[in-house]
Order: sequence, then C-alpha cells, then structure tokens
Amino acid sequence: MNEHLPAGNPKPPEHINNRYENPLKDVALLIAGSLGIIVLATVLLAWSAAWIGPLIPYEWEVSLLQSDPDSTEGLSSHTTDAASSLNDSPTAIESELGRLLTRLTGSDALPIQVHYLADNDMPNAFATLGGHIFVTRGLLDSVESENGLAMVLAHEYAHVELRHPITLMLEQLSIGFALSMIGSDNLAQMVTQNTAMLTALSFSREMERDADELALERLDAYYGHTSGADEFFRSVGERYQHLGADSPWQQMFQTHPLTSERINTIQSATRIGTLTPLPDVLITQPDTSAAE
Amino acid sequence: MESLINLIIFLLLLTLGYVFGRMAESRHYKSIRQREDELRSLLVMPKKVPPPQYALYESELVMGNVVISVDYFKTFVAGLRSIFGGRVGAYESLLDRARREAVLRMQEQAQAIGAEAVYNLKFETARIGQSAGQGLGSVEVLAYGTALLPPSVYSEMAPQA
Repeated sequence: MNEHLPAGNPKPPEHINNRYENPLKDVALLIAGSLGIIVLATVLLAWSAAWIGPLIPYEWEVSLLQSDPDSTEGLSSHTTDAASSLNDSPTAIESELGRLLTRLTGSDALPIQVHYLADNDMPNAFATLGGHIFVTRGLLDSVESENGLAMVLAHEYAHVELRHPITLMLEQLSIGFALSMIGSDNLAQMVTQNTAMLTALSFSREMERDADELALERLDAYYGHTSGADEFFRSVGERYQHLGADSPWQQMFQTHPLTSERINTIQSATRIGTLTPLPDVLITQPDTSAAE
Repeated sequence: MESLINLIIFLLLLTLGYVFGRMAESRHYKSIRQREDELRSLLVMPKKVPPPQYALYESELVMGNVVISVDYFKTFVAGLRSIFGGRVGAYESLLDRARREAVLRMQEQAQAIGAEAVYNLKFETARIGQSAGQGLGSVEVLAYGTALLPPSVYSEMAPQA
C-alpha cells in the first residue's frame, strides 16, 4: 500500500548546472576577441567614411549645417568663437578674403563663406562642415604676402573640396555607432575611444597632405609660381619652437603633419616668382593688437 | 589622464569583484554542500500528490528566499558574452547557488516546524535593483512547497496559530 520513499534527497550533480571553473582564461579570450572586432570595425568604418564622404552632394552638407549649426562643434575646438561669427553679415576683411578665394578657385567653385575671427591671436585657419572657412587675425599677422595667405585659403578650400569635414563627421558618427553597440561597458568604451582616435589620426594626416598638394597646384595655376606658400607654416614653426612643447600648438600638430615636413614638401615643389603684396584691407594694424 | 584614472578604477573594481566574488562563491558552495548533507533526510520532492503514508498528515506552506548580488567581474564577463553569445558560466553558478540556498532555507523552515517532508516544490525567480544603473543588480530566488507535518506536531501547533 505504502509507496517506497527514498532514504534521503539526492546529491545534486555538480558541473552540470554550475560549471565551476576558472573564468580568467575565458575572459582573456573574450577581451582579445572584442578588441579585435572593435579595431577591425573602426578601421572599416573610417575607411568607408573616406569613400562615402565625397559621394554625398555638397548641397546636402550645406543644408545639413543650416538645420543644425551645433554640428560643427565636434569637428573643431575653435568653433566656440567661430559660431558667433557664422550669422553676421560679412565685414570688409571677410569680403576681401572671399574675393581672394574666388580668384584662386575660379567662378565654378563650391560656394564658400569665409569668416574672420578678429579676436583670435593664434595664427590659424580651419574649414568646417557646410563650406565655412575661418581665418584668425593671428594668421593675417603671420603672413607677409598675398601668396602666403592664398596658400592657407587654398588649403582650407581643398579640405572642403575633398569633402574632408563631412568625412570626419561620418567617421565620428560611425565610431559613435560602434561605441553604442558595445553597450554600457566602461572599459570597452574607453578602449574603443582610444583605438578610434589613433585610427582617425592617420587619416587626418593624409587629408592634410592631400589638401597641401591641391593648394599648391591651385597657387601655381593662379600666380604662375608657388613662392611664399610656406610663409604661414614657417611662422607657425618659429612660434611653436619659441613656445615649447606645452603650447596649444602641440595639440594641433598631433593631427597635422609636422610643420618642418610640410615646409620641406612645399619648398621642394616651389617655383620661384615675385610675391604679391597683401591688399591694404588685410594688413593688420600693430596698435590694435597692442590694445588687446 | 582622466581615462587612465577611469581605467585604474575599472581594473580595481574588476579585481575586487573577481577576488571577493570567487571567495564568496567557494565559501558559499562549501556551506551549501555541508547543509545539504545535514538535511538530506528531510525529503523534498516535486510530486504534487503525497504518497499514502502521509494521508493523515497536515500540510503547511514553507518557503526559502534568497537574494544574491551580481559582482562587477560577473557583470563584465556577461557584458562581453552579450557580444559573442554562449554560456554565461558566471551567472549559471550564481543562480545555481541561489536555487540550492533557497531550497536549504525552505528545508530549515520545514525542520523548524517539525515537518517530515516537503512536497510540490516550486521555484520563482525575480530580478531586483535592475534600475540601479550599470546593470549591477541582484537576483531573487524563491523556493516553496507543502510541508507535511505528523498529526501530533500539528495539534501542538494549532493553539498557537
């Protein structure tokens, strides 16, 4: 009548529901695998950005910026003071810079807005999304002839023409996408960010070289020679040596080819000719800089 | 510099999670095996209907409840696993511990009220603290069943109830 009952509970078999083993080897494999995938994905995405960027119509890039003026911020740390000058009507200096650029690039060039940053002493110029070129007062101080200024303008125009800003934006978007795929994991995010930056670095240097090359061609076509093209880089190089390694220039030169390397490239390609003096409007007054 | 500090903090948390997690796990398994041996004679069965020899016994609900926290190391491993897929061994042992501990606590409660066996064993699992961010949460396992008490024991208990 009575059922047979066991004498006691069975011992649960170990290693079926709990694989009790050292997880360190497993973890090392997982980390190595995910890092490999991240590096591969970043390289692939960055490569495809350099390929897709130039295929995007320029009008899209311009309208993209108009609908979202904040989007330039990721591309350049200088845009804090640049953003304010975006909507102003062009000053005499900006008009003159624009005319110089138009003479260099011809009438069928991409529409470009040149902006002048009168408060910025740092000799610098940069191009951002949507065909905006920014020139600082420090740059006008550091060039002696129109040729030197034309080289910088042509260089920045070459960035826009080669679609570098939108390529950078695509790279950043793809890296951001890769990051979000990793999820909320701190290390994975940090490591990807650093890996991604290293990968982006070599692309930026290549972009600078391409832009230099195109700018020299344009300068040669307009003036018939490339004298004075190295004025800006020479003066930056002198300033950089003077300020030492702690200067803010160091950050810029991490993404730009070495100044000396660029000067050498330019000088090796230089065809000697007569320099054109700067238009009067673009000659900076020493007393205005002393007043600041 | 900031990312270096973050990296150090992260590695520290990972090491702490690994060392203390492993220590806690091996200690817990030792305790689980020892108490399972002690309570081996208090039968726990999944059967719904008790056998005839318990026909005159009274029944009583007994339960054991466990909440175990996930450590940083396990979260990290599971995060990596979510990319590649596969067995998340770190969580498997965690849940295995929680289930066995829950059954043990249920048995301890059954023993305390003088039960001879527990029938109709069931499990419930819930995740708690998942909104605390970082995916670091705890897991709750509840084991419950019908404790069978000899009639004499139950009549002693009745006046108190």
